[in-house]
Amino acid sequence: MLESRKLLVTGCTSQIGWAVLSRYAGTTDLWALSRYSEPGSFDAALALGAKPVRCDPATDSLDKVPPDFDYVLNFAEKPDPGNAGEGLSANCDSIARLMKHCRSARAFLHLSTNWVYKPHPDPAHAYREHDDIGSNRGGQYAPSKTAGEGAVRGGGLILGLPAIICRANVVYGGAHGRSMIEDAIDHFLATGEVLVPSEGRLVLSPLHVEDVADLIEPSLRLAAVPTAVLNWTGDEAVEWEELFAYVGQLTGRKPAFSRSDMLDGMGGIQDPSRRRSVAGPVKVGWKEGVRAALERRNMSVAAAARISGEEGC
Amino acid sequence: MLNGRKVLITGHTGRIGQAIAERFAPICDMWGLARYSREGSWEETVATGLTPVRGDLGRGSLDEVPTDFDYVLNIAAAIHPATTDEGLVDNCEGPARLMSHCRSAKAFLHVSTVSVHKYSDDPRHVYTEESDIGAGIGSAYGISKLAGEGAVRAGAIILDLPTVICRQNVQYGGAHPDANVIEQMIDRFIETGEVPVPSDHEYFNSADYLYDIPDWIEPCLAAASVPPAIVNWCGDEAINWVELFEYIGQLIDRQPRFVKVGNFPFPNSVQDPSKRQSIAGLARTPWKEGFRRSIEMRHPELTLAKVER
Repeated sequence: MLESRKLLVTGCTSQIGWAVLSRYAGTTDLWALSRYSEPGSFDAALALGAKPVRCDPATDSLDKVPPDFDYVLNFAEKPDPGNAGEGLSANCDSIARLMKHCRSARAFLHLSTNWVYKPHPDPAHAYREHDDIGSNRGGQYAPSKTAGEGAVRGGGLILGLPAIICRANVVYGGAHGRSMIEDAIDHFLATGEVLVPSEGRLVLSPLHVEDVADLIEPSLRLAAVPTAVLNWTGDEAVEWEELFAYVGQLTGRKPAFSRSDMLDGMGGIQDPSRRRSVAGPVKVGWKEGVRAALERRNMSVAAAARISGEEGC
Repeated sequence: MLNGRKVLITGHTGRIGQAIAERFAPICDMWGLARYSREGSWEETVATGLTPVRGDLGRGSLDEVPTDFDYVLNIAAAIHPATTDEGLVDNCEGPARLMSHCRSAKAFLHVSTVSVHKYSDDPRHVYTEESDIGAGIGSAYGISKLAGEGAVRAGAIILDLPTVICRQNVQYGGAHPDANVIEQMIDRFIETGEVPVPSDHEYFNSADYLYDIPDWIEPCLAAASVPPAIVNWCGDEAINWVELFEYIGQLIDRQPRFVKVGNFPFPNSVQDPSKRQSIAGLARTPWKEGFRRSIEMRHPELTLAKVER
């Protein structure tokens, strides 16, 4: 479907963006839009075979960006907007600017979040695509992503541009970028501590980033007017404590759980049925994914320890 | 500004839309877009001086609707969607379809709601146009309107259509048979002497007087821009619920019997009127004057006492 097509990917240096870039850079005419604020990331995108363009679709002119893409994959987002105006500019208006610019595309894929769902009293409730939305999770993040979904729907209708909103759970396991799982693994490796919510359970249905790359084509096939919605979620739900008990087993170190309101409301599991019906079961279960993420981290931690040891001499 | 212009209005079969239509129909070529499912609504629209045209923003065709409007006033909303999915069709996709249809307009006015804000527990919290957005004030309605603001922002940017989003508080004041939330409470007070109050907090809103709203249409259209401007539609004063009913009690010479309820139905919703004041001046009707007139309209059988304002 995508082979030798002209693709625009935004948010390329994010965990998801980078995995998709790595998957498709060789076989497609792939333009990679990002701010590339991380040193070396521009050249790294170039080395993958993508055409990197330094551009923030929320604030910059799109003049340098060609308009004739076959497909657009919009992963750019601001995860921590400071206020409503910032959130609307970055997570809503930018989408409209991008859709307008790429109006001749065959399909537009937009990354949203499971945090837009209205929190269910049961932490183990599996959100389905038609469940009620509406939450204040992540400060102005979820609200601005909710307005952003409105922008995608509006743009799709106005431009007749088939679109799909992909609501992602925690995506983890990539070479670039971080997630709450990696953050917590790093914190655990450094301190032995694992934060858990101050009250209630934290349950996730995390999705390994390699599985995200597999979801691109099946998701694009669902793109429609009015806009379609698809949960990007793993097949399994896992309790946060269970996940870190497993990390503890692998590292031979028992995690010290301590309660913190920093993790309150961070969870949420999604129903994978629709995703499974179009893309089959995921390839990477959470245990395998967490082990791989840990191996990657452990190596870097070991290397860092060695380097600082050498410096100390 | 609207004088002699071709103007499309939606939601004119509701209270706010009707007040606006009555004001401007005599001076412009105003068309009223609705489903006209309620019997008599077509004829009422004609009687108001509008050209009725059948259409459905969210779910049906707009084929019969002309496209060459100078201004669009989108006041229609689905106020009680059963689910957010349902609300998204009417309150998010609907406005986008309307913008697409009327893309050559000079300006598009979209009525939104204070319910797009993230709810604040502080009863005296004042929502400005820049305050946090989110969930909590209006459940499925508020969220579908928030997504609607997203769609309207997208429409403005994609179509380069100057737009203004007007976030409405709660209005009062018409003789419309379909009483709004505050007037239902007033009717209940007049009937029973009872007034529900929240059991554990004070309640304030900044309700706007229905017939003041048309004053704001032209200044808001003049403020339309890309990306859209946002203007709060609210009264100039924060109204304390208990004070309101003590005042109404004086008017009708009946002591209100305040009944504490745990699930008080209205969230605190005081908005900052200063932006609207800066473009359209002070609201014409102070709340004491407005509620007196409202009761006179709705209850002509009552003789109201003279009360110091």
